Amino acid sequence: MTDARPRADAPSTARTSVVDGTAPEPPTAPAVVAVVVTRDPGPWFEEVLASLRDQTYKQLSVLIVDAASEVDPSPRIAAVLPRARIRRLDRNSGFGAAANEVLDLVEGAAFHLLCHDDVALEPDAVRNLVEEAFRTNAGVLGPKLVDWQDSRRIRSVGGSVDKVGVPAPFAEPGELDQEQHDGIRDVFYVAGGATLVRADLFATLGGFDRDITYHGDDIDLCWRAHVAGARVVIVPAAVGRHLEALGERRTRDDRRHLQQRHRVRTLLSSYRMLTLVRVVPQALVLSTVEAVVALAGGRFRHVGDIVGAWTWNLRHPGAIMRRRRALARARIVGDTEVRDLQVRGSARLTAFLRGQLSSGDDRLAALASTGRELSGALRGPLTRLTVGAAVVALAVMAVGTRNLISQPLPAVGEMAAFPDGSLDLLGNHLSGWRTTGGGGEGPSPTGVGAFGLTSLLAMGSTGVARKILVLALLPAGPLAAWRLTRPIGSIRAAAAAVVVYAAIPLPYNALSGGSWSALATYATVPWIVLGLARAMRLAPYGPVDLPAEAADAPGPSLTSLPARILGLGLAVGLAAIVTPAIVIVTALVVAGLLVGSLVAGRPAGVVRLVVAGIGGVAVAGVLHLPWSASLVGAGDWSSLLVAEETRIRPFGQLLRFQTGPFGDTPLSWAFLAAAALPLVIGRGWRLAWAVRGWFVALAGWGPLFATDQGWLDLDLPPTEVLLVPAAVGLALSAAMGVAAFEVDLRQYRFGWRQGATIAAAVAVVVGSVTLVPGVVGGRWEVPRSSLDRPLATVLDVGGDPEARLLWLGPPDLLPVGSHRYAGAVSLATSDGLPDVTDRWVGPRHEGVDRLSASIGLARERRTAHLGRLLAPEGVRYVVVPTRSVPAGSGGVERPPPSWLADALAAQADLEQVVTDSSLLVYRNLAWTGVAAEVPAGADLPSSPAGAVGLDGRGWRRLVTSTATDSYTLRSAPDGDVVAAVPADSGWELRADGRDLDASGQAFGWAARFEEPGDGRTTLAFDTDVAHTALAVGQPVLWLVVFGARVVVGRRARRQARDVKTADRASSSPAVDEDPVTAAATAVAGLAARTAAGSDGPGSDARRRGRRRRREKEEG
Amino acid sequence: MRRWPPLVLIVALLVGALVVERARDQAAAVPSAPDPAGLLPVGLPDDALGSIWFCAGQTAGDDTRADGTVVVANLGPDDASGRIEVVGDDGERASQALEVAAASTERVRLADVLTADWVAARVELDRGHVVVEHEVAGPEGRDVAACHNRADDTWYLPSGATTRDARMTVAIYNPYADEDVVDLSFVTGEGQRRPRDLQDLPIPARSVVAVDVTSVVTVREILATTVSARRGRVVVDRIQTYDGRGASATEEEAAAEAYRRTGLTVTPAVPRPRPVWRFPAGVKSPGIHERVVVFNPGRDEAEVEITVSLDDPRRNGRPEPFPLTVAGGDFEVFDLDAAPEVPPEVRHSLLVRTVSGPGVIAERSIDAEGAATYVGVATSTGSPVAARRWAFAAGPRPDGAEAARMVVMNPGSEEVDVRLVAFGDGRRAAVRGGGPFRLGPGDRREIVVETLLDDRGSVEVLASGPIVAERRLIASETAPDESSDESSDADAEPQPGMGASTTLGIPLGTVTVLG
Repeated sequence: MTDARPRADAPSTARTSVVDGTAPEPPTAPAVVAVVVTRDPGPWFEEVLASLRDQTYKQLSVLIVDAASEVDPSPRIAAVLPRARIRRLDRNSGFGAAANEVLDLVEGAAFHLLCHDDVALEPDAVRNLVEEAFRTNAGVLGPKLVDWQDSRRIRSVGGSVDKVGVPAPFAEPGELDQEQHDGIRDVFYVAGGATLVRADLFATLGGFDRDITYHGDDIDLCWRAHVAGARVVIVPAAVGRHLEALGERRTRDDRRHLQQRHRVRTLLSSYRMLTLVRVVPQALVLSTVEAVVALAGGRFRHVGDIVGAWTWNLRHPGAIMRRRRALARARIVGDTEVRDLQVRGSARLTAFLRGQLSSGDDRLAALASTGRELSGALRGPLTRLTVGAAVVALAVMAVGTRNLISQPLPAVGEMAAFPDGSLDLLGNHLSGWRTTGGGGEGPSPTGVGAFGLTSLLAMGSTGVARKILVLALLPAGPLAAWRLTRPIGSIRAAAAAVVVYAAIPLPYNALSGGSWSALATYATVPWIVLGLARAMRLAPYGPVDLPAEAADAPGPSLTSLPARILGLGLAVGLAAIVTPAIVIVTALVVAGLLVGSLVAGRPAGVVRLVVAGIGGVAVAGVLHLPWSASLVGAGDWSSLLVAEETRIRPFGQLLRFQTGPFGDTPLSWAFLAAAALPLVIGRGWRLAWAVRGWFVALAGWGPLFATDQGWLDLDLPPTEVLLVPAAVGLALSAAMGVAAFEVDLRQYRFGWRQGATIAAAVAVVVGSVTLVPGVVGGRWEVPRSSLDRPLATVLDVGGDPEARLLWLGPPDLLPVGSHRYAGAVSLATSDGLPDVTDRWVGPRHEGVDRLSASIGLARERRTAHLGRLLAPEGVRYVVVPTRSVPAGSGGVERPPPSWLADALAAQADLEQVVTDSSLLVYRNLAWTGVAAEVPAGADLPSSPAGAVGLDGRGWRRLVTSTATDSYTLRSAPDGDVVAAVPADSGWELRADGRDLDASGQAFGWAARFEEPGDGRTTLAFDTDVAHTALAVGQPVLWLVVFGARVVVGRRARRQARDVKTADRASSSPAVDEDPVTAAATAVAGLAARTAAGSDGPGSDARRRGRRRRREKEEG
Repeated sequence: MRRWPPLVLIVALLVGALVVERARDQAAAVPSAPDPAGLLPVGLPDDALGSIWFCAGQTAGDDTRADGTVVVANLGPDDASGRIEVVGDDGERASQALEVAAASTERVRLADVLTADWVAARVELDRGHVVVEHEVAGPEGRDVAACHNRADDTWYLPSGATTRDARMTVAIYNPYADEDVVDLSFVTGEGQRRPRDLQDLPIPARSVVAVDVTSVVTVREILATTVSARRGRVVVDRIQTYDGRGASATEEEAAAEAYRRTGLTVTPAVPRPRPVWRFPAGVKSPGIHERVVVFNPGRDEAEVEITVSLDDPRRNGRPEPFPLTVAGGDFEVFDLDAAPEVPPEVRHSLLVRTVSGPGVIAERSIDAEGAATYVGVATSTGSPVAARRWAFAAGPRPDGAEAARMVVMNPGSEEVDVRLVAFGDGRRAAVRGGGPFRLGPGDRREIVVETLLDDRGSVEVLASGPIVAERRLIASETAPDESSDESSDADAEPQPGMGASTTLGIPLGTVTVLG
């Protein structure tokens, strides 16, 4: 019998009862009091109590501290440990505070064994701990904690921490116990499931930190024990099975939140001040990096946890100071000695790279442990190799981009320059007049406003904003691929996806060719696939299609379909800021997943897939109002495409993603080989998703091939944009290949499949070699100059930087959004050098038709006076790019069709301007300016074609300065003013304070203002108030949708949790059952749920048998 | 789930796509036909808002080598108006208004607008249904050729001569407002020549430069010319004269020549090589010497066949094609006098066709002397196109000193109906004897127009299918000079006429590129 007794002065506020549960022990053994803190214990509790009852160490008494359970556990305790002492608390203050009760209630004990209520100790655990305490003179000792239902798997054998307090466990959770950790050793901390602590030390330290409610109390206690000069030792001979059922009993999953908060608290209170000055900045940097990574991965709660950890502690400076003072009194050891016990570097970064971190919703993380068993001794190197490859891939991406970061980013292709001021962008966004395509009324693209706001955030530096908006898309793609494949539960699978997605030449070719659309699509489509996959709720993105034994497990997809739709809409909407073609790509992805599911024979979720796809696009459409409405209203398919790509490449090039300088090597076929791996070794959902991935890829390649064959007579988005689904599909399939390697390959004997795996891995590495020139160059072959340079010279020489340009040529060479004219030739207009506001072509204005008609006359050789026809449109120069960039700067050469060059050269009133060979520039000798003074009452033609007979060279040009939607004019006292703006639009002539509407038409469309008189004159567009209101309200719309996504998501998660709780309650054992039997039954059910989603080895045989039966039935 | 169905399907789709594409690529290896307007002057659509024609090479003045006259024919129902601008090689420029009534023909002697050693003319009208030719006349004869209606950056002239009796001038006209720069190169029997003075040769805006090749590349019986514009586009004509002294360096050697050439030709340059050239009007008879120069401007060797299609082949036979190998950057000559398979006094058409290798340019010359009823040299590049309509603006000299012969041939595989319509004074009328008549596949027919046309010189050839039409103008024999002593001799022989011309018409409407 122990001599430890409750103190006489113990508080009487709580009801305390003592039940002796053990027989008297000879007085030679030191007394140990086991303190079990419990709260609403589950059915396992009896087994925990029984393990204490069965301890071979007889000087053990038990104190049960009940932290305000809803149901008094005393009868259950009494049934197993009739002599245990019970103390019930009025409120739940956390484990530490409850365990500290032992300081008040117990006297004379040599050791306290501080236990959770879900740890069942082996019978000789306490004896081994006590013996080791005397042998090593340790102050804190811990047993080896193993999995509750599978004692072969380690929960904890203690660990260390890094300098900022992040734990670095010696064994990965779930690691197979092969006695590899069975040596007694000093550790920095022992896990808090069961901790033997010397009673005097516990008292000296003041027990646990009462403010550390859950998570982190063990590390905090051990850290302070070290400071007080005590050893902390792990005793593997003492074994305890740990259920870790705390999460099951918490209404909200706040583990990471509490861990972060308490880690910072321990950090701030345990170091000396001088050390803190050095460590805290490092901790802040690491936290920032972690937050950024989490942000990039879309884990906003994670970001909140990180930030909240610091703000919470900063709000409690008093408590921290009190703890510091208390510890100072007990301090014996300096920080240097404590630091020697810590690991070097960042434990979190190491854990991240080793895949030890997983989000709270990743319930299939156990898959990784299965893979570990498979890979056996090669596990460590393989993980490091795979993850290292992903890190290297991202690093290579950064190295290859270094010169683009440090040097100016030329306005190549779609990567048009931004105006000098962010306010110019915003002003353009608020204007109701679009200058593209000859000009016309219409809402501004969302991108103009979004880029304006981004530039504002960049302190008004439009250049910096542009560079970020372009270059950030490059790493965003692989990070999105990481996020897409993370639910697989294998760090190596996710790393493989990152490697493949980063190594495919697509983004670098897109960057080289200035395809901003493709980069935006590249960064977004993995998110879209993720959203659709979760909407389908198929494993591993949901509970559907899981093995039968895991079918009742709560899958990771806890949010509702509306939440998925809103999230998908946000993703599509973000990409649509750059390219509306993302809508088409989304449709292709949906089609690919749909067909892939049908081919794979797993049609579950396809209805939700289609609904989510349609809903997402609809939400994106709403987010882009009123711009999207104008596109839909126009009914013009090509208006979705930004630039209509008509140039198709051979299918072999498409399969190799060779749309630019990268990929022109047989090595690029390697990615297909890597992605084919799961098709030959995969099983279950891994094979199904590989098939879906391939059909997503085929959905990208298919339209390009069909168009090339002439089977599809349709304008298409740029080739690179359509290839993005193919890249995502291959990356997803490659990830499934790695997952199949981890899970499925072990079911085969060694043979060609293993060889195929090695070949696939080699293929990825080999395929990446094609990127070497880009990495060495540091700018991914992005040209060093743009067409702006020679063109600016032309405009400067002409003295009219804002001259209106008519662009003709292949759409992918035009630095402006364009409308199809004929064949491979599109046309567009810009006022002066094009900028980003000219990127989005929008609906086809009447001006486009007029310009097309004029070009048609020249093409058909029906006129040699195209200049006269273009003069009423204000066109001063006709520009035909023959290269994507100036000669000598790289890029691609694409001579215009002969008819175009012939037609322009044959015009008597177009004069070719000598400039760089990358451009054919013709000066319009018949140009009369955007506004000209004509003789009052002059008889002007009534049709556009009539201009061909009119020589307007004698007209006086009036424009003196140009703004977004207004022109300042010279006075025209003696004549009429004819302007290159539609007569029936909102253009007004403001002269002498009078607003004059067009009094007539010239050429059948142009505004004519009769005798406006003398004085300062302005030609301005009167934007409708409703347009301005819609443009201003658009950001609010985005915030509303984003907020709705958060609210709906939270609500759905809450509902899912409620359902889960209800399920658990309904499965609780009957009260009148035998408590031990009921506990065993319930624990078995819990174990199945906890293991849900894993393809654990115990279920393999059953699953194989079921599959064989199913195949037999199907066959 | 079953593994093999999706795996097989995916592999089948990928492999199938590659196979389909490969098959399609092989089928699509045949290049598309070029724009016919880039091969020779082609009439504009009738509803065009205007038209511009460029006549590059002629002199302007009395007693000059090739005094030029522009002939403008309005084929349409509406009057056309515009201007003719004449620029001289001295930088002078002048213009005058031009009105051409419907179905009428107007002639403008350029010397009446501007006098200069060499002039070029730009005719600009507000209608599309207009065609323009230019006549050149001088002491050595008279020739007519179509004017250009588009400029280009490269021009080829397969033939030309700078021997003692010959004088060759290349007229380069820049009709636009920006300065051009051109290079000239010549292929002679001894290789290629690139005279330094003729490299980077500036052609000022709206001006003409006449290059006297005779003084640069001397004493070449045949030389091919290439004009390449480094910047801009130009229009090129060749004016060639022969004075009858013989090509040899000395009189004695000249006396031993088989024949001597006398004549004046103006030949529009050709902008592109092609694999097929058609020459409808061929003749082999005593005193008439026909030959074809085939120029290969490409780098690779071209295997060429020249097919002579005789009239009435059942009676006259079908000579086997004559093979010709033309090295890259070189020319070869096919002389019908050296082809006994071609019988004399039988008219024929010629087909020059590339069997393998790059396209070529073929030019035919017909030299008439001695036994012929006229003396002259007629040169013409062949036709790379066929069309249902052809127009000829200029006719024979109105004084009856010339005979006009319209030659049409059917290069297709189906019969076509052909008729000729004359116009010129506001009326349109069928040419007597000008059909309608039917032409079988490969057939040709020559219609003597001079006795049927009255005073209307312009002709439009209309056919139900693609044909090629060429016009020959032959100076008529002249009566014995009555003032001479021999005039009283009743047996005095009539004198051969001076001058000959062959030229393709200007195709209109739908034009088919041959080959």
